[in-house]
Amino acid sequence: MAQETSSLIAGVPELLILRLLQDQEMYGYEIVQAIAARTHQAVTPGEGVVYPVLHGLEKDGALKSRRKAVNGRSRVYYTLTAKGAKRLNFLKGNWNTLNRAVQAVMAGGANAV
Amino acid sequence: MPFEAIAETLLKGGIAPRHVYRYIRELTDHLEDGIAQQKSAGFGDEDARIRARALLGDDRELTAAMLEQTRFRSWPARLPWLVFVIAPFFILTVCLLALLVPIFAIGDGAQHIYNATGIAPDFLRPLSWVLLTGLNLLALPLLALGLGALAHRQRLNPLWPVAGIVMLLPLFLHVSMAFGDPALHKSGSLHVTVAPPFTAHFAQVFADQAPVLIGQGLLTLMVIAYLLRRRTA
Repeated sequence: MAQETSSLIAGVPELLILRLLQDQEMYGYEIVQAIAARTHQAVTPGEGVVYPVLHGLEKDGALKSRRKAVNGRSRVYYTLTAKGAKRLNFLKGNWNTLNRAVQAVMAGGANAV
Repeated sequence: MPFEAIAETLLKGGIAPRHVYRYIRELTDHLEDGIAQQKSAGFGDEDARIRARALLGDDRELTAAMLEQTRFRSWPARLPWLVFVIAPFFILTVCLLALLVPIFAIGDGAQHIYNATGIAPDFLRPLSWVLLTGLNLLALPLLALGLGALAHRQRLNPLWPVAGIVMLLPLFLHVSMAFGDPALHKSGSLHVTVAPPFTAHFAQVFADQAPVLIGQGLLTLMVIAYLLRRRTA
């Protein structure tokens, strides 16, 4: 149980990245800025650590990448694949389950002190 | 190169070079974007660089994030005994045979080549023997250099390629050929010979091929000495 929960929490960066890329292709810096903005700075990991997650997702087939020049700057853009969309749905389901479980505990009940 | 220390740590940690260099390139791009944003927020060049670098994460975080991804480890890092000790025998055999075929074709097919190009068989057949001698002399030392370069690129212990080559050296692996003779209805032949000292045919093989096998051995030992010297340097 503890291992499953910790792996759920560990999947949060993947969940956020896949969700953002569901809307549009983005490059690493954009992804980091979007996470910080949309979570109102609640989630601000060391920016560089997003890349191993992106590379891992690409290796798993959840993302594909291409180098693109925009406004004179060349950057690697990431896009969600069909496999990535399935993975996103799976992680969303797990997250919702965890969220409900935590909410239930926080709401108190028979064992409330 | 920025992030050079991170690259070295990752290579020594067994991460495959292509993943390391891709990571470094994207970190560099990210840093450029971060610096540009800090400058647009009003910070000077040096402050922008320091702030952007700090936001990226320290070296420890950046290396740990990548080292956790064990699937990015290279095959030589995961299975050095397979890559440096077992595989070289098969690689050497395949390379010798692959190169022997065209060398043999030059000599055995000298008459056909003469008919097509005018190049004399008296030039082609000796050329074929010279190429064969070169192949036998250089194949193992070049393989040793290649394995050493592979180990260095991935920051692996050079004792691995040395171990593989030390196991190959006493096999006296070499190739030979005999040209055919249409007048005698005799076809040509190619041979790959393995003649370690404990075998019955070693004495005959060594007597026939002594200069080449000694030369092969000496060149290979020189490469081994070079690899060991790099280790201690």
